[in-house]
Amino acid sequence: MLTQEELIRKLAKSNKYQTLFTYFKESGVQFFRNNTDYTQIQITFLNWLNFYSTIYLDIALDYVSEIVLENNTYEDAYFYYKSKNKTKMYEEKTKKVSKKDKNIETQTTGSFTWVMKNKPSKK
Amino acid sequence: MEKEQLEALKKEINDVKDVANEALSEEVLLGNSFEFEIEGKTYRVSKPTFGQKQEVYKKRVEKFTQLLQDKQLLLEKDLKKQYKERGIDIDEMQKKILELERNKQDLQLKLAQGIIDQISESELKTFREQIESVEEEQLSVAIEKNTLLEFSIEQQIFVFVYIYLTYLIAEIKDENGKWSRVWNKFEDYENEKEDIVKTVTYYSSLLLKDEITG
Repeated sequence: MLTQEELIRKLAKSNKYQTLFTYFKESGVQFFRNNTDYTQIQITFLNWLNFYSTIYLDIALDYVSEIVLENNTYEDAYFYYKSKNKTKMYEEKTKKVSKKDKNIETQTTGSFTWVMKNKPSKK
Repeated sequence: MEKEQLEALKKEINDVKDVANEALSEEVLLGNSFEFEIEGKTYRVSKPTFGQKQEVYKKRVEKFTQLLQDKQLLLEKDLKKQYKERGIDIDEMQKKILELERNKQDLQLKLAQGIIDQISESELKTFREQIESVEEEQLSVAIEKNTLLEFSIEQQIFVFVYIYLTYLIAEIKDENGKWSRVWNKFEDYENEKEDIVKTVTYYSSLLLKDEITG
């Protein structure tokens, strides 16, 4: 039998709640019956929604394959790794992208890395 | 009944329980109050207000002072000393839990690197099994530690806070749809039918999860 935390994760991972969460983040659509005064369990749920939203985004950006969603152990491991290697992962990914497409140019400015399809023209 | 049939039936029952629990969890998540029925009457538990939390805090202090005067009861640190004399080291258990956490994190980094590098599924499975084994060991030590400290004053206070908060947040709906407190005095709650207390406490525990610390 699933524990309460496992059930919350299952709901947070579902298409239904991921879609609602996107609307909630982008246009402030009411997510819970209460608009304010969230319970601790609602805050935990929002954290899990954010956790899965991040993983789905990383899959879409090709940072990681869908196999990560196979079980909680893979998901937790990936998220822990990501929190430890955030910058490294991004740099590795941009290197891979530049190898794939020679027209793509990367420029690092401060903490941001800009990825451009075409080289900027030199004036 | 054949063993396989029994296993299949057990799985089916658990699946049904999961669906029921899922619906319940979803309902609890969607609002900061939750309604349910017991013996044809509608009850409600809601997120504690600031005032209710303040009241609980006062009661907690009172209860702590009361328990502290009882020479039969021990604080966690005194209980730990007594266990140590009997050869049980609670601090070592805590160290073990942290050490296992570090092992788990090392394995998690390896597993995640494997996922990113797209190593074979069997290799991923090996890492997964290793992590789950560490987690099981960690859980077993944590349960042992909590069981040993169950009768400390601190643990009794923690349970009391949950119970007192349940008493404060539980409401009942009358025939006109008006909500009022289920129990006006804590003694009324303590003398209530066990079934009602158990059910209300179960639902309030779903809503109060992580709401109270220490």
